[in-house]
Amino acid sequence: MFGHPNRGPAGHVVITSPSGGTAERETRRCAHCGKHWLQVPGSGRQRGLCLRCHGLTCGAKPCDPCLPYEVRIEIEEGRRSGTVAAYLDTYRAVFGALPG
Amino acid sequence: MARNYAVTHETAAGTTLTILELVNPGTAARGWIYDIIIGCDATPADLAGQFDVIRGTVSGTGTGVTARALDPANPAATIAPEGGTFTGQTKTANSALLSVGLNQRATFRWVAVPGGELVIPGTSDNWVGIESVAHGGTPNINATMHWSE
Repeated sequence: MFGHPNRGPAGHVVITSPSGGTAERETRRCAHCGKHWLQVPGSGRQRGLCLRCHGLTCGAKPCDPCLPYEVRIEIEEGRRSGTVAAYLDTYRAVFGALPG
Repeated sequence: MARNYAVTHETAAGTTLTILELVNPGTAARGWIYDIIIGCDATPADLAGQFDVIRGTVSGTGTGVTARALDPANPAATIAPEGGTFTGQTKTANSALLSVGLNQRATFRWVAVPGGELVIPGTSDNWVGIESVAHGGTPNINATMHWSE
């Protein structure tokens, strides 16, 4: 399920309003934390693009280092050794702290 | 082949109140949520609410809700749904997987593209649920979740 390109839509939203209108939007998913957000062109919200795993990120600071969602889940499940924090520390030690 | 299940529950809205959660009771398998519907069956009113889909590590005590197999031939679901209100939950901070602001008169539906499902980790007592983060009133919120195992 994680093999899909992570830049296309990851979900669709339909909101039915009482006035009779129906709004439809696409959601994108953060390649690092798995969060979905509504795709609103021109909203001004800054998102990210990970140049390591080539996935979109939600723009939150903790999602700047590359920790793919699948790896994060496996760490939380105990299928990989260590912790998420330790993984991110290692990442920063190897690639350096990200600016900002 | 994945087995698909559905569950519905209704709970009054409030502040940081979980409406419905899907709990993984063991470590054998993950769950993948692919469809979420949030609506309200109360008398229509212009009240705003915010709902998040969040994760947690301790499911706490809620009201047991029966999962329905979409294919009647499927065995009982592994994932255990529970409805609000809850005591003793542990929620993961900053873990919103989906967030929506919604007028009480509106109905919201989110459907995952294949591969975009919300993952319930294969860790005992981990859960993913719909939370009423804040609301202008306390209307009944109807929630539906579909997932596969």
